[in-house]
Amino acid sequence: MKRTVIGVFFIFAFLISGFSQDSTLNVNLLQAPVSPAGSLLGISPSQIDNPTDPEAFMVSVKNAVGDFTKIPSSYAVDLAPAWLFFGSRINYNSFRSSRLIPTIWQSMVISTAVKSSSDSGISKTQFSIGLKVSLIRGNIDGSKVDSLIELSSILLQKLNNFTTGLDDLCKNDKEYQQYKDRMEVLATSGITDSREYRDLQDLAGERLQYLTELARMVSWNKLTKTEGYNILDSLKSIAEKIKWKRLGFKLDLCAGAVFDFPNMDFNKGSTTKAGTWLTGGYEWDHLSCLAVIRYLYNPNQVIGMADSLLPKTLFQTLDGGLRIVYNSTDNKFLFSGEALYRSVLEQNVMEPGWRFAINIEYEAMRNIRLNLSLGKDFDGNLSKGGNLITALNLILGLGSNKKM
Amino acid sequence: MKTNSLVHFYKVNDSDHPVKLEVEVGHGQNSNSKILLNHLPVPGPGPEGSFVRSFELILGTNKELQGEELLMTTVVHDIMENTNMTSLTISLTGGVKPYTKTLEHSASKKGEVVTYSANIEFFK
Repeated sequence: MKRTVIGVFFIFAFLISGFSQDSTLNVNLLQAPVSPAGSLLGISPSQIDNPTDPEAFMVSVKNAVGDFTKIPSSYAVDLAPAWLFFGSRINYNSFRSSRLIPTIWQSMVISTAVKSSSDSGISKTQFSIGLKVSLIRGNIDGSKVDSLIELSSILLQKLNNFTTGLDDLCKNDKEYQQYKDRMEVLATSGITDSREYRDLQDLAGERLQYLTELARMVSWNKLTKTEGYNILDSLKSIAEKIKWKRLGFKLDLCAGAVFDFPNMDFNKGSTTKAGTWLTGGYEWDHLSCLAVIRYLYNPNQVIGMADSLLPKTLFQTLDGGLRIVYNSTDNKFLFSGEALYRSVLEQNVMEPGWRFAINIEYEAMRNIRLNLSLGKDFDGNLSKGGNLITALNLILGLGSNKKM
Repeated sequence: MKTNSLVHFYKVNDSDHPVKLEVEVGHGQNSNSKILLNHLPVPGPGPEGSFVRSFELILGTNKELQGEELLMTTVVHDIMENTNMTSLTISLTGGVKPYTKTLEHSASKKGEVVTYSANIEFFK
């Protein structure tokens, strides 16, 4: 069977290799940008900050603007407001929910970017803002996650067995009881809003935390001996196995725009670029079908067109496409196919056209992977029809048995 | 200073109106809580009578709770991919006035646990 598959690959590649023109066939042109603002300004994803708490966000902004003394030359940040500022209100059930409001709120990413440049003595500052939301996000693959969460809950219950020990420590700790006695006096006098009450609350809180750590350490040391294994290690292993993969129907919306301000003159600002992506599809465990409609206003690049051939005037493109990806259970076989229709809304700029691409990958043997790419690309010459392009790659891993 | 522990005195009255405790574990994390009311365990619906993740609990009437003390410990497991933040929001309603406090702490990495504790005294 293995020999047959390899043979078919080679014969297929040989038959079509005569038409080969391009070995770099991208089969992921339909995906909406991870960061719309950064993408529209040409800032690479690795340079985009994604703070996960308000403090990290403040540090990111402060570093970018040099303690609020300058406009950064290149800076992009993506914020998920629900997680960054209101994460304490997202409980487990809400996170797993596929209802519309939690879906939109929790998936919302506000993307901002700024870039400054200077050309012939004229400085130009570009601001970009974007938004990305899921309207339908599918359901978490419960068959794999639920049992792990249940196991986590059982182990957490075992870890959380220091409540009585803590109660004993609290009762016998003089310092803690002194803070509480004073707090009680203030509370019964009706002055819980006072500075003194809040200070005492902080001191009592710190002491309670110290006592909690003591009770916890005593309890967990005993627990490791009685259970015969380290529950903390088990919890780490469980967390690593939990993958929050969502399956089912999905619909995402992504949009962004760039505003140019020559010489930082806000009265002369203009919108120079914009884009909207609507991505929808269905995802199974090993198969996904995705459709995209994309509108771009004055894009930096147009798929299948050399940058030098881009029109000098403002123009708009409207693209639509379909993408299918299949990955076998053992990850040995991968198939992805993409079809894309390109159009420019202005007349006489370029003809509409189609592009198809297929990528097939097979792990023939350990450390040997066959990769076949073929398709019909847009042609650089607008008046010419398509051509066939292929590429066959053989990847060999030498010197190690480690899986590639 | 930010701590993982809360100490508070909550005012109740002489009514038979119930006092409710709401515990919200944020950032989508998993958790387990255990509660002692006046040094005795309060049974929950989770494993070994504990409380799993977010929950609500009627502690008793205002009158019943006068002079009582609540001690709660919570262990939160960081199971999320997009954040290491954990949080515990404790709300009390039904007494003289509502009270809410959120405690937050970041786990060092996915799979780690964070412990919280709360000690609340009910007074008239």
